[in-house]
Parts: sequence; structure tokens; C-alpha cells
Amino acid sequence: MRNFVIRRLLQMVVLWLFISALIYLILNLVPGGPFDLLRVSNPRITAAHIARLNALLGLDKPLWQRYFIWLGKMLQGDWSNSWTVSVGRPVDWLIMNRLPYTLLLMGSSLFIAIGLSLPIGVYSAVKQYSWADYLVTALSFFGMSMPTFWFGIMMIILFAVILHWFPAAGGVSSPGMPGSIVDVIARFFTLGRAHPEIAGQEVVIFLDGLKHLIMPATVLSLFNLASFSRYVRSSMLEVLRQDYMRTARAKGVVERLVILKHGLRNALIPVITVIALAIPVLFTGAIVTESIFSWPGMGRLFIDGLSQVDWPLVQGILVISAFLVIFSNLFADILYAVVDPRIQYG
Amino acid sequence: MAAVAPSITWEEELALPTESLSQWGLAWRRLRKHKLAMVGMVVLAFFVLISILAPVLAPYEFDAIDLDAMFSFPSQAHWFGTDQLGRDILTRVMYAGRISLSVALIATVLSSLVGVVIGAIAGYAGGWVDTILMRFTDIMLTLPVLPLLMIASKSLREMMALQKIFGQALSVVVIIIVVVLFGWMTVARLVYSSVLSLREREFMEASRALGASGWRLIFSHLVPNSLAPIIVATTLDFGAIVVYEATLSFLGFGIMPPTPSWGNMLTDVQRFMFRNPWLAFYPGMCIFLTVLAINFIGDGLRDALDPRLKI
Repeated sequence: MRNFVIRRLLQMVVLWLFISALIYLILNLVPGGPFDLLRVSNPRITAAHIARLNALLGLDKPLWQRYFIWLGKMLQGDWSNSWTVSVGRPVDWLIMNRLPYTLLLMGSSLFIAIGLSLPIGVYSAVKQYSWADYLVTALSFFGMSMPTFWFGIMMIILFAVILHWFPAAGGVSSPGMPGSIVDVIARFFTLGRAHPEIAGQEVVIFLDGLKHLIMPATVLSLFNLASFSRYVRSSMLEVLRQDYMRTARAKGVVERLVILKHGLRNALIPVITVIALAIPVLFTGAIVTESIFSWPGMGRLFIDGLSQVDWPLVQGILVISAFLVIFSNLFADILYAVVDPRIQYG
Repeated sequence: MAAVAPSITWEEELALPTESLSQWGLAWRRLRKHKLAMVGMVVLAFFVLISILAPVLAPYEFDAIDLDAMFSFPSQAHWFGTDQLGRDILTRVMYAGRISLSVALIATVLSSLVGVVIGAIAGYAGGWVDTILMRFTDIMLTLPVLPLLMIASKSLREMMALQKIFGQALSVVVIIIVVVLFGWMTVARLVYSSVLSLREREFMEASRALGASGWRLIFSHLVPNSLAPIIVATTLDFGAIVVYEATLSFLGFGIMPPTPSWGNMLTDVQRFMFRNPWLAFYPGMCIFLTVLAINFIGDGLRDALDPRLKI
């Protein structure tokens, strides 16, 4: 097991290096640079000026050299500065301000998806071919065919524009809130040391954040909810047919325990992989969802960076996302080995 | 030993229909019994037909501006209402369907071809070719696709050489290229595993003994025999690609105006949703119904072609 983890960690590093090189290469193939706008808005600027500015950012060196300089600096914690989105600000600072929001959004949406799909999947498997089962199947088709961004827009129109139940956009009700839900969570986990300025207002801020979070998290969870339910259902159907289920019933185990303890626990093994593979999908969905709901996360920062040619920022975000995706895959593999003792790793 | 009485006489047996069905005939028969798949086919055919006939059927021109009728709600004159420039939504949805469906179709076919070639070569060649190609496929499968699509689409679109060749159509060409670049992996994986299991079968040995070349073995024996899963995966990919195109176009990284697509019709919708919430409804509904229809067809095809596959 330890050897397996070490080998996977090494693979992870190689994979991460490969991805970072790929990203760097694609981005820097794009013609144009951080001074395009400057050139357009200042007719008197000369090629010599641009060359000097480029040299300042190290853009005069060949591509492969630049990649290694960037990589080396990043590994030492210097993620270089933003070019255009927030000129001169360190990229890691920008990302770290936004990352908690993205993780919160992804986490809550995964929570919704798993929390609902387990009972739904188990129920429709146990009651196979009942009307509830058909309903679940139909709904999961709807969920998997629904384009996230359109679903988000329709939710906003229904619940924000027409019904006024939830706010249409943003992460906090401004003005009036001294902090955000992320600050409250940070305060909770540091036992009240972080963000002393919001002391006493935690509950108000938290509920306000929740009100903003609920729509984007629901929208983001739809696809996964639909596909997880299908997987749980079919995996459960597979397990229900096994001999050990009959044995358990024959021993006189209560039906509820047969389903949950003997059935569900075994049915979950393949589902874990599906959940791990959903993490990249979640990142994709987070970009779309954040841009529709103006959720102050990494996805919106990414779109801003991409449309404003802010390569250090875009690289930083992608490198972080790639890391999280690879890490969640590794985590799933390890979890897989833990829950299924039959799997041997050499 | 008592003679077993034949259940039918030989005259009767001769009169029985003896026409045999091919594998595809059987599959078609199974597919026809799949109600949802048939509904999906009708819906998809409807959308395709409407798109093809758009110039004939559309009540207006797709870019005709009518400032006297901005933001009209659905009415007799404009069944689906009009947008911020008074353009008829019904007309635009039809023309957008042409673009969205044909782009998705071309991208799907091309990415499947790439997947088939990569999967077949990796599975047939084995050794280090296999290792490199399939490792690469696995890596691509773990990446979050959308950000990469956005980057690739942005970088390709800014390339001067491409701009000169394709002009206005550049955004359409670019989206096809990027979807193909990042969309071949599922098919490649399927073909790979199918080729691995077929490679050592007797019929392969027979044709190898007859002196068939590697390419011939791959493309006239291995690929046709793994066609069933390829068709299912390609159908489901088609649905996913419709959504990817729409999402990219919505975010401004796909098909650019003035060319209408279901995705880019929704781009500005959030700015106007207080004026006319209907703007968002119809293009999105088209995407949703198309993808739903495709997924139904895919589900039916899976049941019809490969009864062993699940989910």
C-alpha cells in the first residue's frame, strides 16, 4: 500500500509537470501580449518601447527558457504578477482570495449531489420498475441533457426575477455585510482567530452567504446528481442480485439493514470512481456557474484573465486546478483500496 | 426409441419465412421497439428539417433589424418574440440551429474518427506505441475540458494565418478544431479495449495467415467489428458536443456573432432578462430538446446494439 501511494505520488508529479508545460505552450502560442492595448491607445509608442517593456517581463527570452524560469519561480512560491486583470498584484494572492469560494461552491454542490443521489438511487433500485423508478430515470435524463448555463439562467429568471426568493448574483449582499460566508468559515476553523472584524455577526453573514450559495450550488449539482443517481441505481441493482444478499436475508437480518449495510456498502465501491471522475466536470461547471451567478470564485477570474491576455494569472489558475484534479484522482484510488479489501496494490 | 413426432410438417416448414436478419437488421428491430429512442429520432429529425429548411420557412431574415419591435413578447407577428434589436427570435433560432447542429455533427464525426484511429493503432500495435498513446489518452481524460477548450479556441482565433484563410467563418472552423482536439478520448478508449479483445481471435489469425497487411487488419477487420460501441459512444458524444459548443459560444469563446448559434443567442440574455425573460427561453429549449433527443437515441442504440452494456 505504501509503495502504491509513493508510486502514484511520483506519477502525479510527472503528470502535473506535463500539464503545466502543455498549458504554458498553448498559452504562449497565442499571438499578442500584455501590451496590445497599450499599443492601440498610444500611437506614439515604438517597437523599441514595446521591446523594453517585454524585456521587463522577461518576454524577450526563448519560450523553453521562459517556461523553466516560470516553473522554477513558482516552485519557490513566486507565482509572478498579474499582467492586466489586476496589474502588478501577485497571482497567488489573487487566486487565494478566490479559491475558497470555488471550493465552497464545488463542495456544497458535491454534497447536494451525493446526499440526494444515494437515497434516490437506492430507492429506485429497490423498487425497480415502479413508477418512482421510471420517474427517477426520466428526471436523470433531463438532468444530464440540461445545459448548465441555461438551467442557471432559467433559475435566475424564475427564482430571482419573478419570485424574488433568492438574490440573482454575487456572493454577499452589498452594501451592509462586513464579510462573507468564506470569512465565517475561516473564523470557525481557526477557532475565532481569523477576521476579528466580523465578530458577533457570523450568523447573519453566514445565512446571507447561504442565500447566495443555494442557487449556484443547485445548478452545479444537477448534472452530477443525475449521473450519480443512475450509477448508484445500476450498481445497487447489480449488488441486489448477489448471493450474499440472500444469505443475509436468510440469517434473518432486517430488510433495512440488508439493503443499507450489505447492499449499499458494496454498491458504493464503483460509485467512488465515478465521483472522483466528476471532479474535472465540476471544475468545468464551476467556470460556467460562477460566470452566470457572478460568484466571486476562480472561474470568473479565469474568464477575466483569458479575455484580457493575463497569462500568468491563467497559468496559475490552471496549475492549481490541475493539481486539485490529479490529487482527487489519487485520493479516489486510495479510497478505493481502503473500501475494497479485495483490491491488491503491489 | 420412440420417434419424436415433428411439431410441424415439412410443407409447413417450407412455408415459414426464412429471411434471415443481419446483425444490423436485428438491432434496428430492437431499436424500433424502444419508444423513447423513436421519440428522440422524431424530435431530432424535426430540428434537422427545420434547420435545413430555415431559408424557406423562416418568416424574416435572420439579421433583419426592426427597432419598432424591440423586446416584443411572443405574438402573432413574432411567435417567439424579438430580441434587443427587434430581430425575430423564431427566425434566428432556425438559422442558429443550422450552425449549431452542423458544427456539432462535423465535430462529432471528426473526433470519433480520430478516436478510432488512435484507439485502433494503440490496441493493434501494442508495446511502447500502446503505452504512449493510452497514457496520453488517460491524461487527456482527467483534464477539465472546458478551460482547455477556451484557451485553445482563443489562441487559434488570434492566429493571423488562420484569419486570412477563413475570414468570417474562422470562429466556426476553430470550434470544430478544438472540439476534435479534446473530444476523441472516449471513443479511443472504447476502440482500444475492443481491439485488444478481438486481436487474438481466430478470424484475425486467419486473415493474418492470408497475408493481410496491418492497415487492412485494423480497418477492415478490427474497426468494423467494434462498430457497435463506437456508434453508441459517438451518439452520446454528439449530445455532449452540442452542449460544449453552446457553452463556449455563450461564454464568448465559440461561434461569434453575426453568425447565430443557440449558444451565442444567450450571451446577452442576462442583461435583458428584466425586460424580456422570453429571450432566454427558446434557444435554450432548442439545445435542451436536441440533447435530450440525442441521449434518448443513444440509450436506445445501446440497448439495441450492445445489450451487455449498462447505464
